Formats: sequence, C-alpha cells, structure tokens
Amino acid sequence: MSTKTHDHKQIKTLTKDKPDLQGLIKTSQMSPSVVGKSIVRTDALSKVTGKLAFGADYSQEGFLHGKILRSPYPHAVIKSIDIEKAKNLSGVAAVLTAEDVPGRNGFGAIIPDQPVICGDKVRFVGDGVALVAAETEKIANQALELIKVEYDLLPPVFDPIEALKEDAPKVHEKGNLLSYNKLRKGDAEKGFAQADVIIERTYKVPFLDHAYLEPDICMAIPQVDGTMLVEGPMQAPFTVRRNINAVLGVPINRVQARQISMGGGFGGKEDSPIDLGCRAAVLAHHTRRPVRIALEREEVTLQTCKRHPMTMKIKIGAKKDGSLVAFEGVIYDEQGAYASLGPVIPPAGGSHIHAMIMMSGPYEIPNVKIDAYLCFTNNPYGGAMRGFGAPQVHVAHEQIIDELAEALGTTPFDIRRRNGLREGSATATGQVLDQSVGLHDTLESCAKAFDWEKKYQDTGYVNEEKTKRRGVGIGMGWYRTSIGTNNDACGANVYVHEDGTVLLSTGITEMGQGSFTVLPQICAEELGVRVEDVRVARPDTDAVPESGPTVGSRSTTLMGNAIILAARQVKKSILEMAAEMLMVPLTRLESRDRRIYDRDNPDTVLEFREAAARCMANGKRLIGQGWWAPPAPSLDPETGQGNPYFVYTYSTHMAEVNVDMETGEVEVTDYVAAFDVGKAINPKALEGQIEGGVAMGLGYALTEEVAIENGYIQNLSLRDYLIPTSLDVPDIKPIILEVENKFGPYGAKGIGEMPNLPATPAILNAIANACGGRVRDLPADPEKVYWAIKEAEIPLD
Amino acid sequence: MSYAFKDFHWANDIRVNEYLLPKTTAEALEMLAEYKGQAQVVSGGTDVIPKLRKRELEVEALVDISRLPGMSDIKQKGDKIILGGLVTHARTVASLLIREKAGVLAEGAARVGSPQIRNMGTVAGNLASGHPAADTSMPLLALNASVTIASTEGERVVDLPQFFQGGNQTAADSRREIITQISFSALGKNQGCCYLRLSKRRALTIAILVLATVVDVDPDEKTIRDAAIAIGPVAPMPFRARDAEEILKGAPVSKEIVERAGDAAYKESTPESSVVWGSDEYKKEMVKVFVRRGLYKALKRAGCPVA
Repeated sequence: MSTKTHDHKQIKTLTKDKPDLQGLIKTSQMSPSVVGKSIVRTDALSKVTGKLAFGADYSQEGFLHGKILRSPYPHAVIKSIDIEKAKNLSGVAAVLTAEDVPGRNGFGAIIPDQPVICGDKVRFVGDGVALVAAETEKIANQALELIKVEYDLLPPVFDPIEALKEDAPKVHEKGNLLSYNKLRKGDAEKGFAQADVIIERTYKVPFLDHAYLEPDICMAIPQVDGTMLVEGPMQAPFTVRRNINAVLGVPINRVQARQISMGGGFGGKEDSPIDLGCRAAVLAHHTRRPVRIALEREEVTLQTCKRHPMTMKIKIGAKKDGSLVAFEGVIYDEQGAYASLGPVIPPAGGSHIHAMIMMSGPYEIPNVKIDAYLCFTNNPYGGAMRGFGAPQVHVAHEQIIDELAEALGTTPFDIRRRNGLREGSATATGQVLDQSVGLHDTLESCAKAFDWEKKYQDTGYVNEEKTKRRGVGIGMGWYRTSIGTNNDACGANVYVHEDGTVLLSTGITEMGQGSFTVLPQICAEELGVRVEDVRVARPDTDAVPESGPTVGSRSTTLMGNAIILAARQVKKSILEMAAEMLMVPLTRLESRDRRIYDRDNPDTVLEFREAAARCMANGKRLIGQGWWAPPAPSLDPETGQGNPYFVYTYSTHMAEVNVDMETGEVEVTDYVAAFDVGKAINPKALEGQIEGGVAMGLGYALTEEVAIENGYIQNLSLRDYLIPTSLDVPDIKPIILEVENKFGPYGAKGIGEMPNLPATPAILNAIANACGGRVRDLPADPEKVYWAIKEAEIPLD
Repeated sequence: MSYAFKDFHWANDIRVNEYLLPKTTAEALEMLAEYKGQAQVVSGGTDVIPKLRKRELEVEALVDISRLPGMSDIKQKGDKIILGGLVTHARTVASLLIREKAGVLAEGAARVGSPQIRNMGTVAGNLASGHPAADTSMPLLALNASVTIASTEGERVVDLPQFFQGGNQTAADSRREIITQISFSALGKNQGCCYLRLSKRRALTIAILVLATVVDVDPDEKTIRDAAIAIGPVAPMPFRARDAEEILKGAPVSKEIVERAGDAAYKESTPESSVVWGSDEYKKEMVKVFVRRGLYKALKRAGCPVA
C-alpha cells in the first residue's frame, strides 16, 4: 500500500515506468495557438441569455414527485412507523420504509453507512425515515404528514472531543472514532528543545454550507430494458452509479447516470446526488414510473453535506533568526452523522488526512508531529467543499505563523520568505519537491503589486474620529492537484468526424468552473483544429470512460493528459493519411488551425478535414481513447511519510481591511492574489476562478457559519446563512505565474480549489494587524471582532 | 425551542385558493370583509409570499392591492409629508422631497433588501410587518409619523408608537384593513436626522441594529429643543429610547450629554440573544455606540455640531 522510500528519485522512477508521462508539455514545435488564449466560455451565451435548462426547468409531465420524511430528532430509535393513512391517500403511488429497499440499504461516497431509509435509528435531524411518491408535490407533502412515527429518544453528542470520551453516546455501533491517523517527521521534542520561541494556539472553524445557487434535484427514469436512468446535476456520476446499482441490487451496467447542467457544486454535489439518486431510484423501482425529487433551499441546507468543522491545536517553535524548527498539531475533525468522504481512502485521501498532510503549511519544518482524529457526532455530515480538509488548516497555519512572527519580533513577510517551500524542500510528509515550486515567486510578485512594504508601514487610524483602523495581512497557501487515492485515473474519447469536427467525451463535469471550455481547448490544440470544432459530450456513464469524480482540482491536469493521449491516437492516423496524400515524410508534418502542412515547405498543405474524410473512407482510426493516472501516491500509515500528491499549486494573497474599532465591522478594501498555476490554459477563466474563490474565502472569514443548536440548524435559508454579496467583495487583482509542471498538459496544474484557501487567513491576519485583536474561532463577524478588540486591550497609537 | 413538521419539510407551492385583484380601495375592503379574516392583503409580496411558503401565514385568499389607484404618490401638504400606502422603497429613495425633508427615511429605505426587493416592497408593508428591526420603521418612528388605516367600518389614524404592538403585531389587521397613507412633519431649519445600520454583511440582510435619530436644536443657545431616538431590535417592537430623549431635551449640546444619552439608551434597551444574530450584551454595547454616533451626525446636520 505504501512505501518508505519517499525521495526525489521516486518521481523520476515513476516517470520512467510510465512512458506516457513524458512529453505531455511539448507536443508541438510551435507555440500553442489555442491553449493560453482567453476564449469565451463555451456555455457563456446560453447562460447569460437564460436558455440553458437546469434540472428545475425540465418537463415534469409523467413524473411522480418524491418526498422524504425526515427525522425531527438528532438521535433516536425508531419504535414504529404507521404508513397506512398515507398509502390510502388518493394520488399516492408509493410509501416506502426500510424493508422496501431492494438491495443494500445504505449509500455513501466511500463507506455506505447512511441508510436510504432509516429502519432502526436516526442519527441526525434530517435523516430519512420514509419515502413517498405521488402524482403532485402537494399530495406527496400531505402524505408525509399522514405518516406516524414513534421514536425513543437517545442521548445525542454534538462535539467531536466529547464524542471521543468513553461514556459518550455511540452514533454508530463501532464507536465514534471513525479514523485516527498520525504524521511523524524528525523528532518534534528535540526540535522544540532547539527553539528560542514557542507559542501554542487553538483555532476553530464551523460547519459551512456550499450555498450553490441551484438546489439539488434528481430524476430517476426506469427504462424499458430494466435499466435505471438517473439524471441530475452531479459532480461524480460514476460514484452515483456505483451506489445506485448496489441499492437496487443490480449489476453496474443496469444503471445509467447522466449529468445535466449544474448550477454550482463546490464539492457538495459529490454527495447529494448519491442521496437523491438512490432515493429517487428506489421509488422509481417500486412504481415503475419516472420519479423526481427536488429539494427546496432549506432542505438542501438540512439534508446535504457540509464543510467539516475542525478544532486545531498547534504548538510551533522557531529560532531567534526566524527559522522554524518544530511543529506539533492535533486535529479534531467532526464527521457528523455519516462517513461520506471523511474516512481514510488509501493511501492519502480523506478529510482529516488531507488536513494532516497540509497542516504545517507551505513551510519547511524539520520536525513535525500531527495527530488527526475524525469523529462521528449527531450533527449533519461533513463532505467535500472546495479544498476538502485544506481550508480549515490554512486558517490555522497562516494565523499561527503571524502570531509567531510577532513573538519573534519579525514581520509576516520575512517569516514566510525565510521558511516557505522551495524547489528541493521537503514537506511535512518528507516529500522532496523537485519541480514546479513557485511559492516564492507568488510572494514576491504579490508584495510588489500590493505595495506591501509601504502598506505594512502605513497602518493605523484612517478617519478623523479615530474609530476606524487599517491593517494588512498575508495568506500563503498550497494545494494538491489530484486526490491522493489509488483511484485517480481519467479517461477520454476523442472522435474526429469526416468534416474535421470533433466529439470529445469525458466523465468530467461542468459545474461553472469552466472544464467544458478548457478541455476542448486542450483537445483542439493537440489535434490542430479550432476550439469551436470541438463539441463536449454531456457526461453519461453509458457513453464516456470512467473518469472519477470532478473534484480535487484534477480536471484540467489529469483529464487534459488523457485527452492529449486520446487525441494523439487519432492524430497519428490522420497525419499518416496526410503524409500519403501530400507525399511528405510524417515527421515533417504539422497540424494547426484546421490545416496540415509541411513544416519545411508550408505551401504543401491540405485541410484537416480532407485527411479526416480520407481516413473515414479507408477505415483508418478516427476514435482515440486515452487514460491517464498520476504517479502513484504513497503515505506510510504509521509515520504519515510519503509522496501523497504528485504536484502542488502555490499562492500568496494580500488583503487590506478597515476595522471599525467601536463596532467590530470589517471592510476589505484592497486585495491581490498571486498563483503559480504551471500554465494558464485560459487566463480569463482562471481569473474567474480566482475571484470566485477569494469571495468564498472571504465568506469563511467574515460571515459564514451553519449555526447549529443541539443538532438543529438555525439558519436554513440564504436569508440567514450569509454568503458575501457583491458589496462585500473588494476589487481583486489576480496575478498568474507559470512555473511549468512537467506532468501537466502544457505544464498546467490544478486551480479550482486553491483560490479560497489563503483568502480566509489573509483577511483574518489583516484584521489582527488593524485592531490588535485576533479571532481564532470563525467567523470573524462584527461581534467576534468587537470582543477580540476588548480582550486584546492593547494600547493603540 | 420546539420544532414542528414544517421545520423539516418544505414545499414550493403556496396554499391559497384565490388571488383577487380589486379595482378600488372600497372593493378591496369589501373582499377582505367577505373573507372574514381568511384573506390577506398583499402588495409587493416581499414579506407575505415567504411567510406563506413557510406556512407562518395560512389564508384562503390574497387580495392584491398593488394596482389600486391614488396610493402611489408622495406629496407635501403644508408642513406634512404624505406617503401613499403603495409607495415602494425605491420610490422613497428616489424622492427629492423625502431626501431633503425626511432624509432619515430615504437612508433607511435605501438599505432595505436588494434592488429587486426595494422595487417591489412598500414602506407601508414594511411597517405592517411589525418587525422590530424593519429598516423604515425606525425612521418613521423617529419622525413621529402616523398611519391612516381603512376598513369597511371607516378610516382611523394611529400614531406610530401605538401602532406597534409587539410580537410582529400592529394596529393594522392586514386581513381586514389597508394602510392607505403614512404622514409626518417635514424636517426644517434647525433640525437634523441620521440613520445607522449594523449588519453582518453590507446588503441583503436583516440588521443586527437599526437606529434613527431626529434632533431639533436652538442654534443660538446651542441647546437641544427636542430629540427622537428609535432603535431596533432591542425590544419586541420598534423602540423609542425615551429615557435618553428626556436627558437631551433642553440640554446644551455637548459631548457629555451625548454620552449620557448613549448610556441611558443602553440601560433601557432589552435586546435578545440569538445564535445567528448575536448576543444581547453585544447589541446593548452597540446601542451605546450607535446612539452616540447618530446624535453627533444629526446635530451636525442640524447645524449645531458637538464642539
């Protein structure tokens, strides 16, 4: 499963073992003509004109409406369920309880421990205890009200640290500790002995909701041949299929999952389509009719996964000169009621594992000791949300670095410059970074654009009344491309038609992040056609190769490589045909902008489509299939040492804020965010990712929190759950740097999740710099900032 | 806290049987009377529709008064400003008359919800919600406004303090009555006002605190003739800080008197803690800060700044 050899050589060895890893960057002798261009998103027009149909726009004719009866208690035994009255209501097609689930009564992205319909007990407020399908939504709702459930209440547990105590109520039979893992690098004790300054802090982050614009919806449509077709917005159609086939008790090829246009996901639509998909499919299975389940906003908040809350305890030590010598951390990661994506996915997947690997930050520290606990509670369950495990620890490491700098009498800038990862650095897992490490470039260029030196000197009161103070802060970050598990392969089909146009089929989904623009760009570049010649097929498990989930900032890089490999197979046959037609040696041919020509004699030329048509006529290959998996990840389960991810994206953010010293209100007034992305395939789309990510990180810092009282969420609607509005987000200046990734298409690496990670601590650090108080328990809303100022009681100029 | 079925199950349908469109106010009042309390007045719908969806409100019919004639104007009669019952927030913000002679109301209306909500929602509807933190209620309370309420029985005029009855209840029964107009005295020379709002984000959210102040000064004597301070949500309904106002009346304009008013308002306000909107302690501290700031600004605008 894992090896203890984790050095520089391993990546090179892996490269040799996998010849397809080589040469993915330079595919042509010429500079790219499509890649690197800010072409307009392929879905822009249909989205701005409102023509794109989302799930809620689909015809409901012939559909039954599915509804879920939810548990009103966080922890209880189900004594009895009486469904008679509901069944007899006119217009009701089915009322189902646990015994009606035809196959496995459990679903989940990794461990299927969440009942499709709870039979014995409920574990959180919102757990499903019965399903109803009816002719109208209104009747379905009336039927729900007619179901009588008797519960015996069990004592609940709502805190991960409490949950670990011996006498804590057990959420699951096996106990509340879902996973425990550790990381040991060097000798932390010896490291602290060398330290001149040691500080200890605890940071806490709450449950967060994705607040994607489109509420979840799923349609299950039984097919004539017995196949169950499931349609809906989904980030991971293959995981949906894998769950539904088990729940229905049928083989994999009897389930078809098809993604429809998705109004945002941010990781949340990895889990929720499994939930809705299984339940809609079970109802459709029983009624033999199409069933749709559409959630209202409040139901989305209540029922679906959240970003894991964490309590993070850190002790950090440095020498007088500012060099870090030791780091010790404990993570209490709250999984909530069900396992979802939380537990260890060997070797290096899982929320607490990701958090553990990244907890000491993008810094070189010789001695690191981390313990990570993942615990069940009776709260809603944790899942992936833009950075899965990483946003939480960024809040911790970036704040403690600033607090340490202050204790050392150095600056936030200098401590990062001294300790930040460089090429050749070893990470906390002992991974030696041998390529594409642009962290310091981001720090320097961000500082220059932000005018850090001047701004850092120029803090203090900004108004005559002396009520507002300005401050600046840095957030540095890093993030993996890929998911660190052994199932990380992407497959693509490239089909060139006789007129030179192309159908690109992949299992990577579009949720707003731009993959349906960037992937065709890579395909067009490799084939030598225009981007408008490439159409992306909708992800459909019947029609596209297994590509894994659209998560982990993996699409551009991993799928990009698979597309290049697929395109090359077709290109080879087309160029061979062109060589015959032009009577030019194959090695001299170049395919570019719909034309194939002799590099030495550019007037010898034919249209790409002519060669494609000839291939078709002669039965030469026009379909290519490419598969690509990154170098195998490794992580020793005992020491937490290894190479968990094959490449990282790096970033530095700088924020300026004004803090109202009397009310605690914070206004972010200036913002620069710099990234080393390897290669920007579409710079404009990339800037969009950056701006959206910063806004999300700002929400985490200042306003967002799923407020839960004894298991009951108090802010179910977007009226009370506060994501930033356009008035809260400052003008963001993005900086894109390209330090080539030798494993990426054209040198690219992932960017999807990265932008929100450093944003949160950059703002928190700026607040502390402005007002002297520090909020270590998010969000830093006006009240928390106010009390932090009171508590700090530091004399200000 | 106890929870009901509807707290865990939502529907996208709104359960009303009839949607009625009267042509005149009289017809609207007839319709309401006919339903005997089982119909609800709706205009912009920005409060009523969400309440229906959440089943906090259950009625048989909606009586849409948004197209009734003659209630959408803002007029001045003598020193009185009259706001028709259908005047929207957007129209209030855009009105020069309101901006010049009741600036505090324009400032409050400008902070309601979002542009869409301001275009649909009405000031009278905002009042009728009875919400203790409604953005236009505090300015109108500080302006000593009164509302005219019509029913089939006739018309009556209610002053704002009596209009609010706590627990989101008001003197206007929106199942039987219609607010036809709101009136208040135009602010003139030697008067100043100020609206302040504290919230977790900068738009589209319920306020943690809303404050409106109106002061009347004697610029020669540098004294405060009269002061009105309205705050929410620090009581079950929009609240006038009478103790603070008493301290100010007749007092010389000074830093000390403003501080004392802030302290008095702190003492007389009784906000409640909420997991989402913050602790009572914090809100009380903010009352002190806001009363101070609101008075400084209003006094400055009245031409009598604190030295």
